Amino acid sequence: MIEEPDQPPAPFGKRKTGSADLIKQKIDKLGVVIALIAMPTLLFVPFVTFKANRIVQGQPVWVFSALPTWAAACLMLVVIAVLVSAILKAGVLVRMTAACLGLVTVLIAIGLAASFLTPEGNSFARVSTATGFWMLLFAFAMLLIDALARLRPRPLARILLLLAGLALLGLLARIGVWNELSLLKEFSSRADSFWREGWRHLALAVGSLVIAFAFGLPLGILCYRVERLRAAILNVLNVIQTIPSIALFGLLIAPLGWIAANLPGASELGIRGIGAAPAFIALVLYALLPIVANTVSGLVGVDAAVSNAAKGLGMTDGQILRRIELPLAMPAILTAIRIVLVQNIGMATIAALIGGGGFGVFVFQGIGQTATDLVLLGALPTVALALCAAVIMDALTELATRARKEIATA
Amino acid sequence: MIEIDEISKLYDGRAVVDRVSMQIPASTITAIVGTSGSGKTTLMRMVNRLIDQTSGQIKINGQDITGTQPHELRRRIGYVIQGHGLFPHQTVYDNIATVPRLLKWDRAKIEQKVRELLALFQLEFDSFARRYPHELSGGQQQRVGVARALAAEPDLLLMDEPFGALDPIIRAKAQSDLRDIQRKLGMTILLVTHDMDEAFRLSDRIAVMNAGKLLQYAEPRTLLTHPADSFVAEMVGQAERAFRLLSLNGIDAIAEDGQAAGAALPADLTQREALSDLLWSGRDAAPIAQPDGNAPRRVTLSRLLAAAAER
Ligand SMILES: Nc1ncnc2c1ncn2[C@@H]1O[C@H](COP(=O)(O)OP(=O)(O)OP(=O)(O)O)[C@@H](O)[C@H]1O
Ligand SMILES: [Mg+2]
Repeated sequence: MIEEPDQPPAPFGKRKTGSADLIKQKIDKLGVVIALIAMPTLLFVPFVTFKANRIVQGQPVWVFSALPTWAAACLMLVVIAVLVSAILKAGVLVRMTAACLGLVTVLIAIGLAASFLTPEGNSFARVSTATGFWMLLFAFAMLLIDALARLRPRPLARILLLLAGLALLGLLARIGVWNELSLLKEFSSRADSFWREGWRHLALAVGSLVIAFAFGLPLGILCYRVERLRAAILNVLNVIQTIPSIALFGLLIAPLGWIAANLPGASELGIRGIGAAPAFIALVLYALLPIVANTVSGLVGVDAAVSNAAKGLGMTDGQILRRIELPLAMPAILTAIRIVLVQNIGMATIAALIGGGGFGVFVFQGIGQTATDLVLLGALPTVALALCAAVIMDALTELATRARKEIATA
Repeated sequence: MIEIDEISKLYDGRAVVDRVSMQIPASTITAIVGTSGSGKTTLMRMVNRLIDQTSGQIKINGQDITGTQPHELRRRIGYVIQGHGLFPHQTVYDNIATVPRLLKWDRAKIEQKVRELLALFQLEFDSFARRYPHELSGGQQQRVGVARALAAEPDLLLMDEPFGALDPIIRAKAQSDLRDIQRKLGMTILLVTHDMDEAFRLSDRIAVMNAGKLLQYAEPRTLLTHPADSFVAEMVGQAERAFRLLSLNGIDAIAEDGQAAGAALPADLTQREALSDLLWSGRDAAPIAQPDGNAPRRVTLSRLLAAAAER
């Protein structure tokens, strides 16, 4: 399962080569890049920002003043160890462990820095993440992604790895590692609304996916069966895709307002010109194109000989669709669902603009108050959700399509 | 018995199949040959109503095919196409079980049928039933395609260039297997082919089509000896007809008592193969392999030459 990069055998003429070739063979280029990012970052880029209170301008603090000496030394050692394993062509498992170790160390260090810098009993002072922290995180994440790409874990293993990562983060949060960090202070002062908006965000993203799928799949099948409709419908969906979300919200205010005012029961259902309803509808509209287009291309991609044979054997049109065409189009349809889910999780942030709720609430509040950590409180969970959705959907797609490989050798 | 009566198919007013009539006796193999675009596929696909005729009538065992729902009709008729059209997302077992499942056979009966068919096509149940089509060789895929068409024991099998994608050796094997299976099960086969040798090797009767018209429908020998027109004569091969004629019969038909020198020929050779052997070895006669104790028999060049000129 583990794929080591092939090392080309040394050509005959160059048997007695000097150190230059040896170095070339032993050194990993990506490792060098990562080291070139991480080492200067550690030394020269501020790790955290300290503010006396939430409003004032912050001051940059470098690693060696942000952490107690022992902790700074530990961080330094760990970073060097990780980089050495990244530069030398260590085994892929070693590299993966090193990357995880690096990530966890940086994550613990930021928490330590926060409690170290916050004066005892001072509830006004704020310690926030600064560029150095993010760059270190980025460097080690690259190392981890590279190791995972070489390891190529199977779908279930990928989901397990994701769960393990989430559990580790949860554990660190539980212990209170980050309690003094500004981000966590923003969180604890609005924990209730955080979870409420979180659920709402998920409901918007997943709910609109379900509805878009319920409409998109039949629409896709229709486009496939009735070729004359295909171009027209796909063009309309394409145009919708190009309307900016703000404009789409604006366009929806009037009709939804009219429905709320004139259709009995509509406003009780929460349908209004602004709020969750237009956001939901916009998400559904944006989701239709990927679903319809992929359904059509999946169905069109079914080998004509296969559907011909199915008909010749006496399947009805419905049976051909259900037993042959849809199963064979499934990989394309699942890909569409993945695209839409990730896209929706990101776009649901915009819903907050018109009072639709979701994590965007914190993002826009944060922008209004120029409170970066509040923006992060909205943005980080959104990114995390999208990442989880992508990993899980990819794994499910691979599981579902493993047995359905096309005839590769015919 | 299939009765095709004045059947026509028009596309945009152009007759692609033009008033074709033929009567295909039960339990025979009929090959439809003709140039590309002559309407062979269209004619065949009208028999299982994949295409609806513009005019005319087709009866199977006395019943007009338009009297049955198309999909129900098709479940009773086996259908094999070039490139086999196996379902890539289903195992060999599920592919073969397609029509029995549509007909709602019970599980045990379906499994028994699949086992029987895999055995018939020399595919080991334990090693093949759970494989997917892409895990089979081209020849194996083709056999599974035919097995799938035979699963519901149809008494009519339609095959559109079934062996077109196979290499010559596998193709010859597939042809003789098909012939054996047809003899064993006794179904009627209607087969479209581009390969004249295949038509002569397999079929009891050959239908020659050109530009939508059926030019001649007759036994292979008649086609050679009495072609209806110059097109048919050219189709069956002017230059080769003597050899084709010889390939239609076995050597036992012209064997005589007597001795001959050299290696013995297998008794099941065709006359064409025997002639080739005699020419190659430079003999006037060759012994025919006989069971121990039987009187020696032989085949002679002069008799072969006489047979080739017989019409
Ligand atoms: N759906 C259709 N619409 C219009 N013309 C068609 C249609 N299907 C077939 N044809 C025409 O009918 C003619 C006969 O087609 P058919 O497929 O029966 O030929 P064929 O004898 O099977 O040829 P080949 O040996 O190349 O398979 C061709 O000229 C073809 O272009
Ligand atoms: Mg054809």
